[in-house]
Amino acid sequence: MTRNLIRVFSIFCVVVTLGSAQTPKASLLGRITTIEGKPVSLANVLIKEISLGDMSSDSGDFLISNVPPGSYIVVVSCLGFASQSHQVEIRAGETVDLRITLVEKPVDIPEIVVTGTRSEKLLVDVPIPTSVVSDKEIRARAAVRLSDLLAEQEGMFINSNQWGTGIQVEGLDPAYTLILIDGEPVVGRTAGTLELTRLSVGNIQRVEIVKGPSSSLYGSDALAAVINLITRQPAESLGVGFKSRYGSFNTLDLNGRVEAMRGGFGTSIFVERNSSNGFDLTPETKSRTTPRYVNYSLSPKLVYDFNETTKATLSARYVTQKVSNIATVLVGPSDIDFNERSQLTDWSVALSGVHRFSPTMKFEGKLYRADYRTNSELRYQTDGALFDRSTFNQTFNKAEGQLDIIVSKTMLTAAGGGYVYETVLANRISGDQRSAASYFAFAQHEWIPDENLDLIGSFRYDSHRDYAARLSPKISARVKPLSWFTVRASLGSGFKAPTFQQLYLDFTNPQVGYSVFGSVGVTEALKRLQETGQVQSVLVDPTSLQTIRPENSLSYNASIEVDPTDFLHVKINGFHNDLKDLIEAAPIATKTNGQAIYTYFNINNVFTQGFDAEITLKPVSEMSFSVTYQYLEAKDQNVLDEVRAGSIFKIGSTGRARPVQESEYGGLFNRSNHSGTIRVGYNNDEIGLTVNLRGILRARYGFADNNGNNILDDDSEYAPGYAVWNMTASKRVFDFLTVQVGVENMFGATNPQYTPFLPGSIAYATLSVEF
Amino acid sequence: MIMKTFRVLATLGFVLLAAGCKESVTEPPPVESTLPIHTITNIPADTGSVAKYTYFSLRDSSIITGSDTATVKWDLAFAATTIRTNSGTSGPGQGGAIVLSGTDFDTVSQAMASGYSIDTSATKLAITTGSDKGWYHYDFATNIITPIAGRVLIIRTADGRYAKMQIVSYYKDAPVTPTQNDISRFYTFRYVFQPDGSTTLR
Repeated sequence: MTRNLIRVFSIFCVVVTLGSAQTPKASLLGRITTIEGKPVSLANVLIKEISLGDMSSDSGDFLISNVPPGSYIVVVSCLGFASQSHQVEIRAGETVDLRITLVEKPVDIPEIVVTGTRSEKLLVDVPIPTSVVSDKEIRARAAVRLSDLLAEQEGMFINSNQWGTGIQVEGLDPAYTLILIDGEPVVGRTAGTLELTRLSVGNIQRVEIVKGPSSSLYGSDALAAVINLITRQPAESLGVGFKSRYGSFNTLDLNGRVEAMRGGFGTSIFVERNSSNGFDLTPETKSRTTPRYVNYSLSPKLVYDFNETTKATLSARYVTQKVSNIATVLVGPSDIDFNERSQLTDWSVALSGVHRFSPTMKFEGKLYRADYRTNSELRYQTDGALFDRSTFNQTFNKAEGQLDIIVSKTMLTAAGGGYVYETVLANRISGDQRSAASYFAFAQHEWIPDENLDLIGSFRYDSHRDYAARLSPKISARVKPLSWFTVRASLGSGFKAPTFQQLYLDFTNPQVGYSVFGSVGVTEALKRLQETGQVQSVLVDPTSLQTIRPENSLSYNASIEVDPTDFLHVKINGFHNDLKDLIEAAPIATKTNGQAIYTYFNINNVFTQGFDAEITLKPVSEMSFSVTYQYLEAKDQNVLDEVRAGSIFKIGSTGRARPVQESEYGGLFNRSNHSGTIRVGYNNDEIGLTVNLRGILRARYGFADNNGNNILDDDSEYAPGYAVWNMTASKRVFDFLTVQVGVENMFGATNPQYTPFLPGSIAYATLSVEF
Repeated sequence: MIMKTFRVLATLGFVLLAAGCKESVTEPPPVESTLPIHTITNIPADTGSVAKYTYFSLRDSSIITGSDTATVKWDLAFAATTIRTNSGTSGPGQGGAIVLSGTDFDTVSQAMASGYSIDTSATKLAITTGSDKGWYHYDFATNIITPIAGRVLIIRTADGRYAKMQIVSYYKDAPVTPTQNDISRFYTFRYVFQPDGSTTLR
């Protein structure tokens, strides 16, 4: 870490607040200042013709003696400022005093990331492959919600179904990706999917994406990826921004931000209103494909630097969303239309304190509370009477601490632990409210023998009352044999804790009559049903049931990155994920009504593997082209074994049943073997013009079984591939005003059956004002 | 125009990649059968959810109603996913069934001489009830009932003759891919009935 920090700072010139003037005594001297008059140190002053030069001091002064008389060009350069050339006439015996005012010029600041190692590291140095989407990129893609942003991310797919809009990474479902905001988990999932449209990216500085398992640092849910949204820090003495966007389907987004800093005290507040009429691809039904909604977000933040070594941050987030639609439900013999209203409220508060005991030791303590509530109601259209209501309330409380120690120049250690207390209150969960406590401890050690080799090992232990404890290790390495060639590899384990539903569900289907119980309550529930004479036969002896285990994975990732020239960048990443103990409902007993009693077991094993390739070309600094491609295989190991044994049949084209061949088994549904993105961008900072075109391409993918074996094994079971092309253009009109226009899905790809989340072409315009 | 060409080319590339490697599987040819294959469509099975069985005669390919449902005139009775045979607790006949798995309706040429299960209670039936136990699979997520490919029902009729049977669909008009909008509790099935009392089924 010291090494990295030194590397970060040494390449910058330092603006010093005050300095005392030196008395010059020779030929060419002078002082370098900023526009505000602050001295600039470490600036390079060079007399080109004779290669004589000096570096400016803390006071901004420089001195070049023994200059032979003549006419020279003096070049003043400093990173972070625009270079200047001055014609200077030096006569014998004279002293020339040169006053130089440098103008700041933004540079490509080396990107710092935090997610892969839970500590600040340079992106280029981190052994764990990390992708960063900057705020500039977020603006260029005109993303408003997190789903907009991730939809264009290579190797990721939006999974949209009745449980919401989630993200599929490396062929794994949304339930296996952890979403963090400033390092804290966002809670509130429906059947594993965390609704990405409820998260705004209007206040995001950057998004860090770490693919592959990170449970060794973050615990549950971090199997496929960790997506960390880093919110903006107050950085200006007074900053005000306002943005409004209006587009098709009456979609309106208004947001504003104010930030202020004084002394060690910084504050910011972000407010957003987002609403849409939704759209309807199936006018023949009364229900809209995507419903009307309105969403409000509020994020205040307070930062206080007590002194050089101690800092505290208090941040909060409040989101509320109302959705309305019409639902048609079969009640008895006839269809009845209901007004469907649902509301969700999602808030969190995080308090963190960082104290640096010494330059080599840092402690961070964090308290976090998140609360997620939903309430949905179906009411009769005639008299507004309530037909059905379902509620879900979840809280997540966490206290944790982390100590970072720089052991030596080549050794860094971090260790920490914490306590999590969760509660849930829902219709189908047994008891009034269920709660669960868990503890965790983690440690990480990094060894950097030289700048071309970096090794990190980490592990985390998670202990929970109602499921088996879990130890998750991970090791990663970065090797840089050549200056333009980097290899990264990691081997790690991830896990996903059983959900509250899988632990505590208590549900009997009123129409069909089957029952499902969570693994914790099944023994008592079975006893209860036996006592009331509802059980016909017990299929699995409940005393033989093992404590349910978290779903877990073992994953391998390896990548190479090649930067042979400034204008070419190639990256290839291969991955293999072995998921074990996937939790599924299976019968434990049969009821006297002929139906079954189900509970949750660790049953399936699944694997996904493939590679991502990315080529980026920058022929001139204003233009960039990039193409990415992903090859993916995702299969259920149990199904594959059965197919190999010849025990899964299909109805063939002649109507006859025959065993499914291994070559016909297409793996898990909703996975494309081939997919990619194409991106062309033009960006001219001088005139403030940005234009870009992005394509998202996806080959066919399994949609649903239709030949009676519940696996993907026939051409008719695939949804066709599709391509979505988005274009945006933005122009800075005044220093404080930028106008952006865009079209999403330019060619209007729609398919109500397969891609109901694609509404066809939409257009929008955005105005943003920033002071 | 350039963009369109670009898009077409890009899409084409993907399609070619996707279609690149594909083996063809040879389907087995249909089997000659001297006995007729009956295909019966849209037999209602308790569509009003009142536990009302529909009784069916394999010999006559017809629905049996009224007082005949207490006789040996019917062979199978349908209510929702439950199928009764005319045997044991369900009726006075000599019926019964064997559920074969991992086979093909056309390939089965012979009924077993023995080993038939009979209905011994309202829920212990020759054709086992429940998802994946008898003839169907129930998908929790989609609420859809699908017949399991490769399952063939060998039926002993009420008068001790034999038939083989394949359930094709549980939905009205047998849609290829049923959805929640399709109307359930309508059976489509096909069967071969041997009237001469032998076990030969072709």
